[in-house]
Amino acid sequence: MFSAFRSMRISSSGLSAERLRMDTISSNIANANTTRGGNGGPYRRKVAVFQENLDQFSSNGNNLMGVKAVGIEEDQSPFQKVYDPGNPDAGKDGYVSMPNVNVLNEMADLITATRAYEANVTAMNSEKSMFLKALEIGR
Amino acid sequence: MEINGISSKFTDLSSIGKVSNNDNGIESFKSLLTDQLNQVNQLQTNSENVSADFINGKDTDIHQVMLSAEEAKMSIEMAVQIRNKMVEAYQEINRMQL
Repeated sequence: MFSAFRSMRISSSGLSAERLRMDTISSNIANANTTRGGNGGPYRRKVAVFQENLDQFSSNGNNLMGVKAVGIEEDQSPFQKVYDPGNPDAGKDGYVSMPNVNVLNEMADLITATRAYEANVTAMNSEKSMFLKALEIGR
Repeated sequence: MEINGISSKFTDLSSIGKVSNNDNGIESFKSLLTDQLNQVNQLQTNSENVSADFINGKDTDIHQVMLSAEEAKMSIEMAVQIRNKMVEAYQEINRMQL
């Protein structure tokens, strides 16, 4: 990896992470009313988990490599129960378990992900302009 | 393009100024120049491959396409600046009155 471009690769990893978070948010919003999820019960809200990416093989102390996604986990908070006896997925007491997705929270997370994406792009542009400025030394 | 690599390899330039016809010195300068130009070329082909992958619909992010294009452009600009400095140094030496 070229050391001159490592800082831009770090920002690029941030962009990939925010895109993955966007995907999970879109999935949560799309499945906000899905009563039949993957394994039996209703849809469980998904959360993307990120971890700092450190380079174990670098010789000097500068082993920053940005962020990496370690997986998508499911939110374990309880489901909401809605009384709807006519629903084919209703239990014997007439209650249907709805997904634990709060659309308002998802919209706030959506804005956060968008702004974080733009912040990473701004950081990348700043790094590029610093590099080009350095090329003007002695011009 | 590795900035550290170039600055450490330029210490070999002292062999060019020697009066004795040291062919080995001039050979190594040419080889290091072609090495660095090959790396610049590698970045260009990398950028083209990533763009082609993106257009063909393979699993590539748009920011990787833009980033590889920027890296290629930056490495070309740096190579141009290096070339300017080398030509300037050559002309400086040419101006020496014998």
